[in-house]
Amino acid sequence: MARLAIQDITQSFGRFRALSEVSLTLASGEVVGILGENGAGKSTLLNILSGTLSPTSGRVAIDGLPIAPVNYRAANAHGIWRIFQDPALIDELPVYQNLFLGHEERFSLGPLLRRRAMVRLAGSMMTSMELDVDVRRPVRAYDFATRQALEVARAILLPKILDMPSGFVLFDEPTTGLTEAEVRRLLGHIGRLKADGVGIAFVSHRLKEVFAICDRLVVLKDGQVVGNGAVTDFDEDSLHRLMVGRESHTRSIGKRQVAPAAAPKLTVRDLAKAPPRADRWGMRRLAIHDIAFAVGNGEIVGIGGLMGSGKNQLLRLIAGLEVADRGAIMLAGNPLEGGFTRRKKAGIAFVPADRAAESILLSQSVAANIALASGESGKRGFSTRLGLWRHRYEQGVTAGMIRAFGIKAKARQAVGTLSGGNQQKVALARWVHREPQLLLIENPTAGVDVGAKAEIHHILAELAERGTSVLYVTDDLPELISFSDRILIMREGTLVAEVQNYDRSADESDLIAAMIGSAIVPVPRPSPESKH
Amino acid sequence: MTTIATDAPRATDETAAGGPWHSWISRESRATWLPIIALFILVGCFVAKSSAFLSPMNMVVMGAQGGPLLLISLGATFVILMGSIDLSVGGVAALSAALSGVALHDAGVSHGLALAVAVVFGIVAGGFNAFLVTVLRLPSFIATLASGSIFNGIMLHVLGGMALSVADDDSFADIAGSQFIPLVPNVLFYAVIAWAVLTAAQYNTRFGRYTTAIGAGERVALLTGLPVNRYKAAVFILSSTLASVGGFFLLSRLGSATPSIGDGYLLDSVAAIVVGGTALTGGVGGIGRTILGVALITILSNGLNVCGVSSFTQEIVKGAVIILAVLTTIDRRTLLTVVK
Repeated sequence: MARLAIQDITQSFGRFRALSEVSLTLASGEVVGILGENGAGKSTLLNILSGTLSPTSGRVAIDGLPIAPVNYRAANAHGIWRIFQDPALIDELPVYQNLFLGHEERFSLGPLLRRRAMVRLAGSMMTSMELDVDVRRPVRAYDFATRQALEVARAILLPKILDMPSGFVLFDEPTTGLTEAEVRRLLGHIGRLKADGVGIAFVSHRLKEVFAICDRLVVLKDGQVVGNGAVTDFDEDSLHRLMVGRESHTRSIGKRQVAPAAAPKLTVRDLAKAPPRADRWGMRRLAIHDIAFAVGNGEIVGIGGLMGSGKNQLLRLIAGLEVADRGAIMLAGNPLEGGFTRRKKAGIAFVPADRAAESILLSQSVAANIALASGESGKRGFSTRLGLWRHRYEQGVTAGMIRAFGIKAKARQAVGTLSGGNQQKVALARWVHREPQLLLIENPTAGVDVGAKAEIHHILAELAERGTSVLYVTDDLPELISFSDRILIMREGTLVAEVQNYDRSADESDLIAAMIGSAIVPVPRPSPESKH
Repeated sequence: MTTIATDAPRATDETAAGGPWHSWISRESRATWLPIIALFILVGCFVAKSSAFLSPMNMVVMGAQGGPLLLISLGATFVILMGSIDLSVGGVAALSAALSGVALHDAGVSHGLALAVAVVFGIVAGGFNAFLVTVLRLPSFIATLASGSIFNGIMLHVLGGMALSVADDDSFADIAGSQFIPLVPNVLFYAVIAWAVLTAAQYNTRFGRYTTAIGAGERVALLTGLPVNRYKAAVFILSSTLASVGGFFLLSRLGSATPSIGDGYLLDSVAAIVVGGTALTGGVGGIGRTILGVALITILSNGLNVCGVSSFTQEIVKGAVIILAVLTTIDRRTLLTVVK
């Protein structure tokens, strides 16, 4: 029996229709997967349900009674809870205050807050979520995966603890950036919610999870429902066809025949960096230590590892965004020194994972974003020796990139209006234009839909063909296997495994074993000499 | 979300519905047309109130009032475009006027040398601000608030708390007051040239492009390898230098350096910039429209004077105009806009 009904919802932004006449239902104890490429309207739909957007027309009803929540709190009162894609937590506040944010009145004693009760309840929430979190510490002390888990804890447990209605929980790509183990735990929580009779909307790009957890699937394309049925009615190929209107090509890169040349492009020797502060026992454990590896010309090397394994920090050390305590980094035979600005001139490029905060200027145009890294004068520079901007050149380069990368946007369009995939293409175009020696990327395809993911892999493979070495970290295991010539695994700040992967045949369970440390894979300490 | 062709950049998914007029006029056109419309309404009101308002003499007076304000606001617009703020412009202008006044009166230097004193002081003052912001990493708000106070204090020392008259002959007053173009005092002429040059620079130079980029996202700029600190330093030096030159022309126009010479220029310049449509959050807006803001603020002050409104009431009106201007130009559709 459907409890939540959405009828003929249309959402227009100016001339653009994000949703047109979308109808769907959600029953108690049912998990409905909402699928679609970035831009299909999934998040818009969730925004309407969770009160952050009011629809242009159409209606939403619970048990036949129309509702129109004006904000997230109002949606909560109707029993609708949401796990946001980017954890909506305040960094500086302690965990327990974040968990009860907006619901403090339950703990108020006159003008005072019953902090002890808040801490106790928050602690019990952490226990039941199997999280090792000190709720009195500020949120910023915890990594992305933990924050996401806090977000999940808030949506799942808060209604129970506060005795508020919990009819529906909306998951907006909750598994982005989670490891397999964390995903499994999350799916367990969803199973329990389902058993409690909660209706669940589950938005995800990862089809494996969708098939594992969902009862019914709704496929959106360009703001319209193009598929709606029991999960058994679909398979991966039919979903791809519905979502993108073409056959899937997951293994887009395939085997690469050519082994890279013997002379390495990047050589890292004996790299180490201490964590900023001594830990509780006064020990200065090395955050990154004993790192030695090489990357060949035009080689694509992927680094895998759990959250906190130090893989992202390693990338930032090489980029010059953090300072190493020890060790040498050589690029094409020359030592890499100084900060990122200097290393960029030496031929380093870096694409951060957090697009909105670190990679893309959302309010600026596609053209301005592509030109951003190359404002200097010179061959590929966007300005003349006198510092005048080369508008013609900018137009030419931008138009070329838009065509070559299939960026669905106009040159003057603000990048904030693009989908994740197109934003990522813009971020890549900025560096591809420079034809760097070494391209460093964090999570190259996070928050990107299937079609764009294949295109991005294609772009990077082409760049590698032209001689740029690609070194990337990823939390996406299938990507690690399907897109690396060689795989490095990091655990607790050092490299623990190296797997040749020219034939794309690395074994998933071996890699996981190396990441979590049950030593199935032999663990030779890789050194530049023992490389090829 | 893909290709949502909203008229303003959408920073997050959390778009909320705003008032109806927000959706049918874009921020860009509101920011351009509302100041112009307001300008016409103001002029209309003042003309109806007082016949003296449109007299040639008053036009010249307005030009002479607007010129220094435009100079002072130009560099400060770059600072705001870059996502910082320069609250020291009033203090810089005042100390610059005092220093060039002393140079003229006590040292008896030529007019050109006095201008050089102002320019050098502007560079030094901007360098000091840049040092506070880039090396000591103080937030620009507090750094320039403090340095502005320091400059103001030094100015009081330099003048000994008294007015210093430099109006010994007319030639110094002519620097600001004579007219190459009839009815346009030269201070306005110079300021408009500076405005045209900087407007072109914002769109057509690396300097302008990088400044805007830093304002739109400083972290992104850093992670793209931009020499952010160097540009910040350059922009603060530009701001102080233009404020300092503005102070010099102020001295030329008024004929004496008084302790209160820079009063009001801080509020007026920020008001002019914001009314012109440059967002305090950085990355949006530009030098081009600051001239509209300067015109509006100047006409407002002058018109209220001509109509005999008391200076007490003028302050109230000015504050209200700023609030109205920001209300109409700001994009409040996104619920998650952080207001600081």
